[in-house]
Amino acid sequence: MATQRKLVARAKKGDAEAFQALIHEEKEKLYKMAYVYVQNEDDALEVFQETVYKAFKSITTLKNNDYFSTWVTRILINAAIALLKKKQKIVPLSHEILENMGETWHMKREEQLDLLEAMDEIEEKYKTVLLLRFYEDYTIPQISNFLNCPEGTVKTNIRRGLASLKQKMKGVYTDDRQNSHV
Amino acid sequence: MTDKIPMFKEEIDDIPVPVDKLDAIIAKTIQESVQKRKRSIGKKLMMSVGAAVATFALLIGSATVSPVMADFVSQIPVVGSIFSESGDRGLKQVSDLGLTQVIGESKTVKGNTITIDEVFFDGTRLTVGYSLTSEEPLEEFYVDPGMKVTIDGKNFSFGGSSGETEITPTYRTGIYHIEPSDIEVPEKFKLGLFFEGKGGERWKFTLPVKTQTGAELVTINETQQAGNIGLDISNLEVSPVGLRLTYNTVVEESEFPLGAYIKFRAVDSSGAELAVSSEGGGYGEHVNGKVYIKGNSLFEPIDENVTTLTITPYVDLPSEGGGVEFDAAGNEKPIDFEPYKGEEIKFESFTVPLP
Repeated sequence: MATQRKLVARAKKGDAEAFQALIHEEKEKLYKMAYVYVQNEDDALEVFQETVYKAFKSITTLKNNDYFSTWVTRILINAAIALLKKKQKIVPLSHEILENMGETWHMKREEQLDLLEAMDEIEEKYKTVLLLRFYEDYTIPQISNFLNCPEGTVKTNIRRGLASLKQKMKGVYTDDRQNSHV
Repeated sequence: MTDKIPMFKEEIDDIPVPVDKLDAIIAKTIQESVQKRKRSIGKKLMMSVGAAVATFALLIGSATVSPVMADFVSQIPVVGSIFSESGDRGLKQVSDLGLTQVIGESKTVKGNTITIDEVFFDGTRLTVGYSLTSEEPLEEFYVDPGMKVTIDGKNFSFGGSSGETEITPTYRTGIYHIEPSDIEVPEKFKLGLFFEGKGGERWKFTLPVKTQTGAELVTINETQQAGNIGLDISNLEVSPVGLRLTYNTVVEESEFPLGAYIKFRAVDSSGAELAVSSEGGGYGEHVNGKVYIKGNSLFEPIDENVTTLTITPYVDLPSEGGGVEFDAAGNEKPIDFEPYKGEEIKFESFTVPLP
């Protein structure tokens, strides 16, 4: 942590190598989180690139040097949501296309990625709290602080997110393939 | 929880990571950003004189300077970078060429600071870049996107759009595009901007703005009739901000208002399609049972070696929609939407030589 703090201090003074070292520490985790949101490699790489660019550009605005990881995760989540919104506006997929995508998706990915598939289908607010809680291992107060919303809301969203996830996954397991893209 | 959910972390950890690609992205992004920083350092030194004055006034204004305030002030970003980093090539070009007005004026209300970063007016579209810095994290669209604007103290009707980018929870940037429609805008004027925050804050700015002229004008005078729309494309302005196509449509008042949904596709002499910076909308008038709409589409700048453009008008009908209309007093009125059920509308392509 002390090393990371020093690297952040150097990066804030414009040291590109220090910034690079910080991002290398976080890169795999950041990419995987981006992937959960966008569900394909190209878009996940785009989100990652946007995150690196924004983080490098605005590292001087990071107030507490201990929180680089949290701060860059926040930038990534914003970038992923922004990309999803942009795509939603550009490509209004018809019901038929969506159904066909569901078919292909299942054939390609089979069952080992059911959780990811279910994560793709739940609301963004649930996705974010579940990722922070169960992937990042944040505590409820940490998530509350991160998202700037009351702890009660965080708890509710985790509970509802889990219920939603459970329902989607159950759908995948019990229904036949025709009906499995919930 | 199902027995699969405890595998949450494991399943996400199993996502294959293209490490080489990530490393390449990191190296390239940092390298490009560093080069850009070096290139613009001369320009930014000049600009930071303005920023320093604004910061100084801000400190004097607060009788006792708390450590939080001092820390906050030290983090005010260097002004004059929002256009060049907006992703809009035209705005980046005008900013890089020094055609924009760099402002750097800040106002702080209840701990939230708006800084007007850069302004550009090319005679048609007024673009304002600003940043919002706060002590506490702020929600999305904390600043009301329906900003009030005046020219020399007068209200006017305008079309426009706005967008914001959250860089961090306490620092976001935004861009407003405003196209005045029922006012003759003088070459030099005082622009009034009135921002409102969700916490009841009001930030007011008055800025002197000078119109950037110097666009090359290509006369087109292409007239077409398709279905019930009469379309007249008068000219193309070529300037560093891009290529602006100006057009008029006329439709019978009793018919579906197709004129509001005209868009253009432009392909250059090498076959590449031009990116669109802004399009659609326009300013309409009802005269003698007809609806006349004046609109423009702005394309991103092109390479110097492009000699001609092939332009294809088309009707882009939304399947759902609606909107709001603002009158000169800033009153909001919803516009209802009914889908078009008539025949398909098709226009002819035409070619325009470039200067």
